[in-house]
Amino acid sequence: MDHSGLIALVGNPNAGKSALFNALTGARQKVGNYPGVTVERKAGKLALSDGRNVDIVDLPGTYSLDPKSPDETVTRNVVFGYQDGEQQPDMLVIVVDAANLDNHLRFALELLALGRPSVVALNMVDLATRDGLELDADQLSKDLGVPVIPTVAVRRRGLDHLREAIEAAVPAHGQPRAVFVPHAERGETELRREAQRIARRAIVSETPTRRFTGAIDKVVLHPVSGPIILLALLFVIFQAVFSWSEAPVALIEETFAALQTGVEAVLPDSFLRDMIVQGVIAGVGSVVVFLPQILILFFFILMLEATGYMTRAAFLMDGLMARVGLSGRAFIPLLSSFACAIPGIMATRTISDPKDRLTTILIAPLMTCSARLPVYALIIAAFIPDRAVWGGIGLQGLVLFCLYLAGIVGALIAAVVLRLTVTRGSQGSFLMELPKYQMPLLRDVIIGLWQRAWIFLRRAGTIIFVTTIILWLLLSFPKPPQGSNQSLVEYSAAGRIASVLEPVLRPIGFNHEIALALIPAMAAREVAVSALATANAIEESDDEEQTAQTLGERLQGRWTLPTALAFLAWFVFAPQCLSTIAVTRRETNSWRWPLFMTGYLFVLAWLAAGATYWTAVSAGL
Amino acid sequence: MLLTALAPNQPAYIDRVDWAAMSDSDGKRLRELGLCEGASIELLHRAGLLGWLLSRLGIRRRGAHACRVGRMIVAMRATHAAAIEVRTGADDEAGAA
Repeated sequence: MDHSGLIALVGNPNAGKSALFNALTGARQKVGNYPGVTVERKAGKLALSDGRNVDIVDLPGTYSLDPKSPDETVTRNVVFGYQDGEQQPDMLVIVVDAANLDNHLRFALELLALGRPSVVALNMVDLATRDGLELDADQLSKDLGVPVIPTVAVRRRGLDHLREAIEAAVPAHGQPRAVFVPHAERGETELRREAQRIARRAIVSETPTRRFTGAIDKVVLHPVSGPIILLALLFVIFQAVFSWSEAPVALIEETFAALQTGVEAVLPDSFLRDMIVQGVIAGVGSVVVFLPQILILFFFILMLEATGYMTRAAFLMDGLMARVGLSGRAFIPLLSSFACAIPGIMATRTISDPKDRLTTILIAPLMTCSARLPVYALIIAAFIPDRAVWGGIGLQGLVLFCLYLAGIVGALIAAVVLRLTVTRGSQGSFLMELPKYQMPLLRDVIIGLWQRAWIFLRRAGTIIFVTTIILWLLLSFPKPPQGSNQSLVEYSAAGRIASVLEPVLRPIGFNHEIALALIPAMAAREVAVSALATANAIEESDDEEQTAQTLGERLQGRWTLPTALAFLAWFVFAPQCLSTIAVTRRETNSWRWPLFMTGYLFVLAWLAAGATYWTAVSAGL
Repeated sequence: MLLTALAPNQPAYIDRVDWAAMSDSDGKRLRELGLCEGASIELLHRAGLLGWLLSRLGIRRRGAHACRVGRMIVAMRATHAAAIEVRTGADDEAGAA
């Protein structure tokens, strides 16, 4: 089959573009980034009946070709052919929400004025009918001068007709690229009036029956029941992240343990075997083990987005966010950051105000990401007694809750301080469309989860893979001479670097082995656990949980309680994740902000750990 | 009257928007969302528990407003809502009298 042509799906936010993209391409899609920006590029293949296999891209939703945020800029640039790494589309599929015709037609008219081959997908006609609207697609097609195909992407209705229309409109392979002559540019008011006129002509009948969304909003957006529902949802999500993940986490641990045993059985005792077993499998396995938790959190995030609830959450949170100088839109990236700060930082691209966006990026690493969990779990299990306090609440769980809370409170305080200093500027705005509620389609959620899983595993297979090998080499070489009373770890390159750091960390209660663990943990926080394990010279056990327990018991004997608490406080703030720093560099397009972020978070980590240690020591703990 | 003073679920029309009270880009986005002179508008919800409690005590609230504009629901802050003057059926009748 030939690969010919590029089609761009373009339209307003909430027009159902992504659902249409999923319906047209199925699982045949590739998610990446546009070069130089962290705006996600979703591309796929569309097989036409004449044997052509055209590329199709799903562009970020926007209201006009005059962008307000980075993702809207990408849409404008792709449509005009200015975007690096993307050819100008051969045709546009303009997606409009049938129930919001006059508003969406304004942007459609702006796109049609470019004079490029186009087809209009009149999407979500079922919801328009639910809202009492009957539309005449033929009349609309006559007025717009291009084919208009009624579709219901989530029910796969109208897709064959849309494919036929695309086939007829997309230039044939080998045909020279046409020079498109844009129509005369029209003013904003003229476009709006024209859109309203065309929409009125296309509406056959209109009955005001918008009960469904309104009825839910009455409860969900109510000043009293709204926040209660939001808090209850967040509670359920975080409970599920921990309780649902237990079985798959155990399965992954067992798989990696079996892999280690298998390699040990096959390879002779050698440098290569040690590197594979202790470095690669243990290192990559310690990261992949978080995949279930990340997927559970993303499952809820995707569901909340697909139903239309996420924007309601932003609406409810705007008041609180405004008090710390942010917008309700910041709630969505910050919620994502509980899974991982990287997608959280990427999600800030929808925030239009640059200062709002920068502040959200700078505080996103303070949300307790899942990489902190192994560190918290190890130290809490080893140092916090497993007993109930205050009416049956578990002390260990309470400490974990306090660590999450410390991250949130720290982020809010940091936002206030940043907005008064380095990101000072006018108070940002909050303008947002609240889409209609929809039943999410399981297939779309699964595709979304698969994409997130793939991105995470690819990262584990590259960055973490390389880091763990380097860590293993630094911890293993050079080897101490015969008769030396220094341990292998202390004599190693990593041990020597730790000795340099130790004087800075000693005042906050950290010892040599913590200094040693913090170096590799710069790559990813969870590496601190495996680094501590190696530093303690524990024989790798087949059962990772047993290893963790053994490590915990060892730490109990070597650390004081104030040191352990200080270590926990350190990880609430410490920016120990190279991927987060790298994505911040890419998102802010300079080294200035990632370096600033790393600096202020390390200072906070040192102060928090110090304050915890000094308070605990003076309290006689 | 200002949109901030409009009672919930009372149909109205946008009479005038003080575009100078907001940034150019916010003004443009409001127009892209359909908020312009002559458009039908209805206040649906005001967010904020604290604001709701204060409003019970007769103190003006500042939380986000959700409005139906045409067939779309748009959320905006009180600062933007305060720049929008609306006219209800009752205003028209009073004007005619």
